[in-house]
Amino acid sequence: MKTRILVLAGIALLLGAAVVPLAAQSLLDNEYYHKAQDLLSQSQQALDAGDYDNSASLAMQARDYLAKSDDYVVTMTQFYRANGYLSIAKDRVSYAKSIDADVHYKAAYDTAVSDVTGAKTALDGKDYPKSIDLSKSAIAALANIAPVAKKPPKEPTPQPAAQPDLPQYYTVRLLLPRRDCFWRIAEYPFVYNNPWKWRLLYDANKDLLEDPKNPNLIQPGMRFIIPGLAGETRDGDYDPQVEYPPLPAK
Amino acid sequence: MRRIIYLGAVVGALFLIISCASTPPQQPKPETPQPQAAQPAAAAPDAELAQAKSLQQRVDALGLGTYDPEDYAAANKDFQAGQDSYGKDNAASKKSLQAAISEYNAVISKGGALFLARLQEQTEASKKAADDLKASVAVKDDYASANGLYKKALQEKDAGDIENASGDFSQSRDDFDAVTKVAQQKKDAAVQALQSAQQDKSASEQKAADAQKALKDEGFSSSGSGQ
Repeated sequence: MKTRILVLAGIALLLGAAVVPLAAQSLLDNEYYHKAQDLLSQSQQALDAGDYDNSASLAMQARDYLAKSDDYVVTMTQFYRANGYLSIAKDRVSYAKSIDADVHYKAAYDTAVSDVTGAKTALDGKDYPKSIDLSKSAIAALANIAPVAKKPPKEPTPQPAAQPDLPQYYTVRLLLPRRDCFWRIAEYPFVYNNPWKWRLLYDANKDLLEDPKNPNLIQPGMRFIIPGLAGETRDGDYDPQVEYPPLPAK
Repeated sequence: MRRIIYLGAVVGALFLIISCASTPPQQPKPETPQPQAAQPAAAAPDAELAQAKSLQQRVDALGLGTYDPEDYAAANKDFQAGQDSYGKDNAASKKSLQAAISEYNAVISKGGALFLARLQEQTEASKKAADDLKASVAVKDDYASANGLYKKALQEKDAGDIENASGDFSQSRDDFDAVTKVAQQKKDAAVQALQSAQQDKSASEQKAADAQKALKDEGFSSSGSGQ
């Protein structure tokens, strides 16, 4: 038993050690870091050969490049964050447009469009903090929009079978071993059928959380609103007994 | 006939009187020493004295006495004896000085070899320390200078030139020591710089990993696009 535990622990450690560098791989995949690595290698070779002055000089150059790599990591982190928020904001604006928010929530829609435009401009100008602020502002402007009930068609076309609306609300459940989280809720076919859309859920419901800054802590029984994603009609609470049509995965 | 005899006697007497009157009476000789019969005196051994003195100075200047203490003690004793008897018994002085010269030469021959061997050993130890630090690369010009002097000392040693060989061995030893010191300082600085750079590298990797994790926690990707 002990041996098995030790073996498992060893495997876990190895996996952990492998995951950390992999996780940071893309941000470190920059010319400055590669140059610094190259200079460090040359510095070690010069040291081994007794060319100490050159070794020290190469090491100093490597430090300069590492500082540049650090700056690059900070900048790119801001860029990815700004780009991510802009992507969410654009999705929200698209959704708003699809439910005619430009008519029914004109002020909010116009604000969001303006903010998204500004966010894009700021992103292109590498003013990432400003871009993030504007994207967040756009998302917030459209946080409370919902589809407005449309007038029934004058001559409704007969439907082969009544399809239930998708749920507007979802109550967090304790489904062991699969625990609900924003990621898994977004993954449900009747929600977004795409776990990567979790942030839309989170942004719409963060005020319900004990710690609005922590999307990882949700409690069973919390009732989350499901913002529309692509013009789908949503209404009522999720009923596990109902078979909902899946939202097309996007 | 009597007259002739008488006359002869008178003349003889007169002759005796005259001759006795011109010769001072014999006095007893005083006791002052009279010069002996001339004997060949030994010349002062000036050349031997000068040579022995020169050899002694050379031996002492190089400190060779400690390498051959028996011959050195005998040489000093004979040199002292030669000086003491100089001018009194030049033959004995010369003999002592010649013995001293022979003994000083023995000291130079035996002690010189040992002295140079010791200096060479010291120099080679200093050279090895410099080589171990790769000083020929780190302090190229100074190392080359020290090494050139060392090779010159070896040639001088082979030629029996103790003075120049010892001087050059000593100088090259000191030069190698100085080169080693500089090389060590340069190496320490390089090692320190490299360690600092390695620490910076680890810190940079950690910063990137932290940033990557923060992005992931926020639901963003760092693959160039948003969610």
